Amino acid sequence: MPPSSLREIEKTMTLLFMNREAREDFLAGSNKDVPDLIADEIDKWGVELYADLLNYGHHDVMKSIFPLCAKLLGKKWDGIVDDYLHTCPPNHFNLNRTAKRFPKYVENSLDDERKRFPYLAELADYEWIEMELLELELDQDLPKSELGNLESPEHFTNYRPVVNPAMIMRHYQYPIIAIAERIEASKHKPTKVKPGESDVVVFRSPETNGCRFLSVGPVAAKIIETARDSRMTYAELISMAVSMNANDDPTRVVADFLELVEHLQTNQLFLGSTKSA
Amino acid sequence: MTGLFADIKKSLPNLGVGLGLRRELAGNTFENADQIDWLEFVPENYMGLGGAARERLERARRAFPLVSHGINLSLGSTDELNPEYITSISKLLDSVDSPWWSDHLCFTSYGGTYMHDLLPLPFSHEAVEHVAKRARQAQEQVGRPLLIENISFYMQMPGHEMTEAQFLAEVLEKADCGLLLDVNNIYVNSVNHGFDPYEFLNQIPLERTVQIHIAGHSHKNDVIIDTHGASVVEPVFALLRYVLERADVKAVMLERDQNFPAFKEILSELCEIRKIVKETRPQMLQHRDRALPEVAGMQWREEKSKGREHAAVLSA
Repeated sequence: MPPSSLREIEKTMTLLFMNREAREDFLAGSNKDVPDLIADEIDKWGVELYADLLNYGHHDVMKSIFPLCAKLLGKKWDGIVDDYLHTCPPNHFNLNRTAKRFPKYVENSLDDERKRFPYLAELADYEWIEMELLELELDQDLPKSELGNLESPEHFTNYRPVVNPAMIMRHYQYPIIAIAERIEASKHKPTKVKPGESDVVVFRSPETNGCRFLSVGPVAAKIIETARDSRMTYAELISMAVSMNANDDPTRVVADFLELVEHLQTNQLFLGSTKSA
Repeated sequence: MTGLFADIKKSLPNLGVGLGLRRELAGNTFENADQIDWLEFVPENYMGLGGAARERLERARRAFPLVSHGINLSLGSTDELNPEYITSISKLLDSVDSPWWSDHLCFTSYGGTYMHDLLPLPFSHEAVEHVAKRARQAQEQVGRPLLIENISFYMQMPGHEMTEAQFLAEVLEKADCGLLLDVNNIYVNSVNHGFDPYEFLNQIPLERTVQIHIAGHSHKNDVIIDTHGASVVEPVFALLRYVLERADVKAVMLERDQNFPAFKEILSELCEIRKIVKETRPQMLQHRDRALPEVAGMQWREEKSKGREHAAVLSA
């Protein structure tokens, strides 16, 4: 009988290391997934050891990226991760990307858990985007600010904000930042949470390389989004803010706008100002 | 040793005694740059990444010679070489001007699934041919000398036709590559599989050794696991000395990936290694007039530890 091919051996061993059901069948004496020629030579103790070690590593990375989901799901977490890894096995050489498809998996597969925690998919997304931003490679160096404070009318008409490119915005159906804080702080799981739309901006600080999370109102979200996607000057952004708040006192809206800009500059979501071409 | 590698090796620099660049150790590593000659980094922790990882690597590049030691080239995999991986690692190696790069004699992926650990290959003639061909391909595509490292393994794979030493020797000769010799892995395997580590060393082409890894290990029931999470034991230091007395090695590196002790213990192990190198292969330390601009005593803030770094070790 010819020896088994390298490919066949790798396929079989990968199955036994990564697929719990196939492994348990094999260890219990069934060879339905394993060619006889290979089965006779397999060290069952070794299969268990490697499977345990791989499983430990994959679970470790998942828990490090989704600590709040893990805390929320408690004893169910390990089983859910096993099922996720079975459905979405790691497909990238970057270990942390093992976790990338988990938010979608939660959204599409965990019906029972989402009935209990309807914000679960959004929470998973919220935890994942922090990881994504921590690792994000920027195409170019951070843009430089060409202006200190906004002091003259010309500054408003000629300059626009420099938006931190390491930034992701989300519109959630639940107040995710508040939920995350509650899970982190409390032993009790927030089950009866009312839906409430929230706009969240997550960005990486150029100073610390850590992520910051901002909960913003719809107007602020629109201003940040527009500043990122267009070359609108401060004056144009103010006009937009005023038109979005048509029923409010324009003076008040302008004051709020200036306060927002200062806040975003302090937090380094805005990295200064640049001349608008 | 036949082939081109003999000539290539002559042109490789002596780096001395180095340490792994690890997120948890970065601050101490930079602060003690005067006691560390070079750093090894795991490329998967930096390929295509920005933020803290990129900044850490850039700081390291300015302070130390850097060498890449990968996990997921997956030399033994029967999948095609991953073009994204090759492109990304080539770019990274160019950016830090790594004089060589290394990966393991194992497979870490199959059918597009990455297992993120070092899985042994069958010691078969087919695997020799396969790995040697891929190593030549990878080396050619990346354009820098590739070293292949012997791994710790805990089970014999089906289809084996030779010993580990024969397998390693044949792969190195057919691939015409350099060797990254891990003396702790030899020790671990010798205990777990019951062979004489010195006999092993006598059976492999030691003259291909460019770099040595030395590390500690842990005990799990009746086996020793290569965890890089403990101090180096005396028999492993003895293997290091044995190799250094016989091969023109360019660099020795202490691996420490978990269960981190006080940094002074790591420095003390580096001192012990340096003492052995000085006694056996002093020319490896000749580069030590390296200037240390801006790094001695450099402060480094702690990094957020979300996510995990790759390490060339099984978790245990």
